[in-house]
Order: sequence, then structure tokens, then C-alpha cells
Amino acid sequence: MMAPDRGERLLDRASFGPRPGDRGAIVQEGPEAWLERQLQPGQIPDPEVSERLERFPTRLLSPGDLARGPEMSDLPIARGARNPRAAEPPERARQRMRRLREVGRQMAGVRVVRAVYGRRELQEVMVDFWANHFSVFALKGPLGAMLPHYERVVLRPHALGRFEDLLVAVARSPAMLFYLDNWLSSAEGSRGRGRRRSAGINENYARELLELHTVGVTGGYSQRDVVEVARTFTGWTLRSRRDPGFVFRGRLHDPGPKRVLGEAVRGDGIDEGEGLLRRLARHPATARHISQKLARRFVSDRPPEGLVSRLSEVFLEREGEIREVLRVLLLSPEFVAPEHRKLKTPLEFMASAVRVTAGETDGGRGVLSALRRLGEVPFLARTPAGYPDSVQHWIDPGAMLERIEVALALGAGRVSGTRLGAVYPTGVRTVAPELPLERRSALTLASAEFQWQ
Amino acid sequence: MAMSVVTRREFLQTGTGALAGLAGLSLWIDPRPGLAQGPGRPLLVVIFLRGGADGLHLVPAIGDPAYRKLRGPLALSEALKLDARFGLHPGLADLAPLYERGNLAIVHAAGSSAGTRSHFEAQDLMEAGTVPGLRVAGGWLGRAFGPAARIGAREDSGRFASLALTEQLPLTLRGSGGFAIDDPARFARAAADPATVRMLERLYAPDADHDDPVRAAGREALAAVAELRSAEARSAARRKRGAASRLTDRVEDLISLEQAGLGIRVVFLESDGWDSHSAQGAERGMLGRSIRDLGVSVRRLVDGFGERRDLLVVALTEFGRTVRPNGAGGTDHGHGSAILVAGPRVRGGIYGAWPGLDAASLHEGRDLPVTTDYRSVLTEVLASQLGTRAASAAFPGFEPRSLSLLG
Repeated sequence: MMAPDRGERLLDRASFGPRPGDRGAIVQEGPEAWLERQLQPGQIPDPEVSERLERFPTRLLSPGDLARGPEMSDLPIARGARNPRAAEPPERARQRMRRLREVGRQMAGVRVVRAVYGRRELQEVMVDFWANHFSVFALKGPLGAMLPHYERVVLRPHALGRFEDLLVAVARSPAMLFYLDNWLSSAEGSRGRGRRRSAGINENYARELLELHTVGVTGGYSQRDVVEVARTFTGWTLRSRRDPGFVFRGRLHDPGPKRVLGEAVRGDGIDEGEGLLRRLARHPATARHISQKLARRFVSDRPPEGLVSRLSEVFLEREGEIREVLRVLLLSPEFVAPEHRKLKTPLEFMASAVRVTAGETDGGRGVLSALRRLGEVPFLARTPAGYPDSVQHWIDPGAMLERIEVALALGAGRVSGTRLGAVYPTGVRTVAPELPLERRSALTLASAEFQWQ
Repeated sequence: MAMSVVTRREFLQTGTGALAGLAGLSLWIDPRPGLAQGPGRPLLVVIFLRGGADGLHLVPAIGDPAYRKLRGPLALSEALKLDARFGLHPGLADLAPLYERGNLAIVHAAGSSAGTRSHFEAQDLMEAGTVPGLRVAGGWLGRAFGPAARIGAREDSGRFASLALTEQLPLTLRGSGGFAIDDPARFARAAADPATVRMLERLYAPDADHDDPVRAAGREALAAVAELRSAEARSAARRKRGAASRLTDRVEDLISLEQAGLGIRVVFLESDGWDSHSAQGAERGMLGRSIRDLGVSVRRLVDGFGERRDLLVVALTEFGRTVRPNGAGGTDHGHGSAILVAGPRVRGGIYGAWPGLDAASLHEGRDLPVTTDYRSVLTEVLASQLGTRAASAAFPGFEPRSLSLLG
């Protein structure tokens, strides 16, 4: 097997796949210059995306904006609203569900459109990475209404920045506070909100913060640590039903002393939580956990240990600057080693298919239902661990048949709003040159080779 | 990059019959030994009721002095009486004859001891067959049916031996090399054009790159299509698709697949719509339909396979619901529920220690407690259908309590 050239690898893995012309362009620009440019996404104009995103107006709405619609009515935090659902007429409930699903669809559509048309390639790949690292489920209660904020204000701006800033932004986000129930967590014995709320800690966020977001399952914490973390974040909650932004409520906070991972939690009130997040972000086990996941994403399901160690060192030295870790990772010899193969997830498969043929997608229902068949609609991962990216998870016979079917459906124009373009997907495998272009393209996209990045 | 060219000439060399394009598959797919599932090969069907099914609605404790008062508008007045203590929801009328014949066991106040009221967490834990803090690989049925548990049982290695009629392979079956097919009819129709199939065969033919798992899975998929297509052709029972729910539809799928002799041993089915936060209804209402479909499905399975396949059907859910109705005429996430086990070798009856519905007995003052760990039920089911080794592989370290559900 010929060693792939770095430019090609960058297009395959640090973007959602090459478009016609990209290969020539990256050779001309040079892979290193391309990478430097991609590490500063704010300076890359992205006019086509802006235009195409206009059909997703909810992407700009805040949880408060959306809360003024009917979406939030099952968030039982409004004063005096003992059980808002009880009083909700069925028609209104249906309307609420419809609106929430629509917001979820639009936000998934935004991700598809950006993956296909975006010029901030690496940023978008990292948004996908963080959206799974800090996964939320769009259909949990009114979470859909918090999703535009989560994507636009929390994930994207921090995608290449400092990990601890991202971690803090996630911890304060309505989407995560709601998803992992921390908004319901309060000190034992404190006066919960409303008579029906039983006071007490909820460990859900605390556990995932340690297990998934920071030090990882082998990070050396105990159930006792989980409880202490949960106590630290008591009072981190949502303001109100009509304005479900982050608020810290001192009366719900447990002021007692706490120790996490062998060290006292410092400060008081909200500072305890902020300080703990920053401490966890700088923990060596976190550096390792994030480095391991990045190496897995960009190199191989089983990344070489040497690479993971080097990335962890960079992570610690550069205080969690993701940009610096990525630079070392994407310029490493391991990144271009031919033996390290990486499967496309369904989203990568779909986006790269449209990109490689210069096709079209509107990010609408057609492409989302194809993604649903393939098993990966953005923001609909069923567990807090997000969508996995391993061969083991994504490849079984049923899943392969779906990929084949979706490729054939794309070629036959049976995915509404999304179609392949007139460019034959070169660089994969040439199929029956005499066949009509769409059939040849579809078969090529259905091949085993195209499933690999 | 591996380059290979499939020429137009090859493309045109396809047969004319509907299945001709699939003939070439045999060249590179191992012919498998007889698929005979044989009369008497045990068959296990698991039905997962997603959303938290209200066990007190499926099997109301009509004899409990607190039942009517606590359940209020949800109390059933037309329940089918099973004994002095319990009845069946009238929607489960199809199960009453099974109970009378002694083919239905009900384990009440059963479930997972994990206290979570999160659907996803509770489903994941139950499907994995574990409790918080105990990490296991794959799902309980996957481990039970996986390679480690079936040494020497080569006849179980058929492509469809471990089958889920779901969109994606459920966690329950992971580890068994299970096969998920959402809709067998559609699967069999996939890539139906023989010319396309022939091209795909070429694309997925083994090449120098022997360990490409994508290539292997693609080949397996095409072979499965061929097998299903010919199974469809020889299946006596043409699958009829009504306007019924997914569950009853899948049961019909399963019956026709089994008749085609695909070597099916363990099956996973699921049913939605159990999350009855509002308008749950008593005899009728939102939950009535899910309940009816469940009853029809279990009955159809027992009648359809019965003793011919030594069938066991288990229906379970991630958690039960609050005993009292909420303000919306529904119930919220609770704890214990009921597990149903049906089949010809079942020793019919009602099992499990009934905690009673008085306030002091309820879990956290609101839910039916769990007095029987679901793993005790599944251990007996597995030991019966797959052997004791499978049962212990499913729940490592778990000490089951004996219920003697099976004769």
C-alpha cells in the first residue's frame, strides 16, 4: 500500500472529505499551510454556508427565545407551576412536540450543511468531535430548545480553543444542565423549588463529568468522589421556565467541605464548581483521556501509545490548547502511516459522498432520514457517551447493507433534497466505466474502500 | 489505493432470472452446514417494552386492599381475574387462556435494583445485564449466546441464529455476532436488481486485503440478502402486513422467517409506547393499545411455535411506574414492574414476593419495589433454552434466587 500523502490525509480526516479541486489546491498551498489556516477558522470566510443556513432560522434562537413559545412547558420550574403538564391541553402538547422536533431537525440540518459546504473544515470536524464528547440528546424533554445555543455558543466557538473554557461553557449550558439533570440537584435538606421537588443531590452530571468529560473511567475516582462532585455543583441550575439560562442559586448549594480526587475543593459558592472544572481540565488523566480520544478519531481505533503520550504532554504543557494538540497530531508520522485506517462514521460517509461528487444537500428531512437509517443523526445519540467512531460499532452486515442501499438511493435520486453531483468519485475504485455516471458513482460510494477515511 | 475495474462485459454477464445474480455468491461465501433448527431446538424470544411499562396495569393487584384507593382513576374494574390477588388487564385477554393452561408465568414486583429513573440509563443497564458500577462487555443475551458460552454448539453459528428485528443491533444482543434486520421484506428486496447485485459482489469479493472488516460485513450482508430472498420464496407463511403495531408486525415476520428454516435460536423484539406520563387510561386509553398488542403478540408466538420449537417468550421493561396517578392521568417513572414468561414448558402462576401496596411498602413512598431481580428470572430462562453455561456467562458474579419458573 502506498503511503498516503499528508495533504490527502488531511482532506480525508481533518475535513469531511475532499471536494473536486481540493487535492490540487492542498498540493499548491502545502499541507502545513493548509493546516495553519484551518487552525484559525475565524479568518476563513464561509459565505456559502451562511447563505445555505438561512433555511434554518431556529439556529439563532436562544433558549429564552424558544421558551416564549410553547416548548418549555414541561420544565416544571416556573413559580407556582406545580405540574405544568397537568394543565396542558393535548393540542398544545402536540404543538410543543412538533416545535421541539422541528428545532432538533434544523440543528441536525445545520450540522449536515456545515459538514458538506463549510470551509472551516477542521473546526467542523472538531464540532462533531465535541458534540459527541459532550453529547446531549435532542429529544429529552424540552432540550431541543436549548440546542441552538449549545451548538452556536458553546461547542463551535470553543472547538479549537482551551479545553477548560469549553468544559466550563458546557457545565453552564442549559442543554447539559438539563440533559444530565444537574439543574435538579440541590443540597440535602435545602428547600427545593416548589413543594413537589424533593431536595437532594443528583449524581448524573457528576458521574459523567468524571467518567466521560474529564479524567475518564480509569481516572482513579470513586463513588465517594462522584458524590463530592455532585455536592460541589448543587445550585448550578436553570433560572426559570421562561428564561432557562444558567443561574447559581446559593440556597440550593451545599456549603460543606468537599474533597475530590484527594484534594479539597476550594473557594465557595459558584467558585467551587468553576475551580473544580479547571482543576479537572488540567488533570493528567484528563490530558490522557482527551489525547486518546483525539488520536482515536484522527488516526486509528487503537492509536499507538507513543502518539497518545506525546499528545498528553502537549496538552499539559500548553494548558489544554486543543489547537496545539491538533497541530502535533496532524503533523505526526502516525497520522500518515498507511497501516492506521479509520472508518467513516455515517455522517462522514454521507458528507464525503456529497462532497466528492460535487453534489447538493439541503440538510432537510431526506438526508436526515438517510442518516437515521445509517444510525447517526446529529444530537440524537442515545447515551451521554455520544456516537462512537469505531469499526466495531458501525460495521455489521445490516449496517453495511444500509450503507449500500443509501449509496444506491443517492445515485438514483431517491434521497429528497440531496443528490450526487456530476463528478465521478476518483481516488477510490473505478467501476464499469461504461455505465451511466450516477450508477457508477453510486456503486463506488457503496464499495468497501469508500467506507474508509 | 486498490484499483480494480469491473468492465462492462462482466457487468453484462448477468443472468436473467430473479436470483441469477446471486448465484455467484456461493463462490466466496462458505456454504453453511444444514440450517435445520430441528423440531425441539429451543427458541428464546425476548420482548423489551421500552419506556417503562406499568406492571400494575398489566397485572393489577385487584385483591390488594390499597389498590383502588391508590390507583384512583387508573384502577381497573374489568380486570380478568387470575386469583384472589391479581388480575390481567382486559387488553391481555389473549393471555388468559395461556394462564389457564399453565403456560404463563408472571413475576410481579420484578426489575432492576438500579434506582435510576432515566430511560436510557435503565435500559442500558438492563440490556447490558448489569448494575451501576459493574462494567461488562456487550449485552446479557450476547454473552449468553456468544462464542464463550457455546463451545461445541456449532449448529448455532447460522447467520440468523441470534436475530434482532430492530433497526440496529440492540445492546442486549451485542457480543453474539447477532444480526439486526428492521424489516426482513425490505432487506430481502435490497439491491434487488441482479445486475447491481453482481456489481456489488465484485466490489466485495475478497482481495489481498483479507482483514478488511467492511468487506467481510458487506459480503455477509449480500449473502444474507440472498438467503432471505430464497427463504421468502420457500416460506409457507407469506408475511401479511396489516395496520398493526410494529410488535405484531415483527412477530409475523419472525414466524415466517422461522418457517423458512433460518436456524433462529434467540430473537430480540421491542415495543414502544409504554411511557404513559399522561392519559394512561384504565381499560381504554393510550396504554390500552400497547397492552393489547403485547397480548396478541405473546399469544401468537406461543400458538405459532409452541411445542414444536420449545419456545420461551420473555417480556420485560426497564422500570415500572408510580403506583399513584400523576396530575395528568398518567404515571411517572417508577421502580418495580412485572415480567411475563410464556411457553409450553412454563409452570404457570404468579411468582415473586408481593410487597403489598400499603404506604410503608412502596419504594421511596411512591413506586412498586423490586422484590425479584430480573436477572434471577433471566437466569432460569437462559438455563432452560441455552444451558447453564450460557446462564452464568450472561450475569457473571450474580447469585440468582431460584424461582422454579420452568418445569
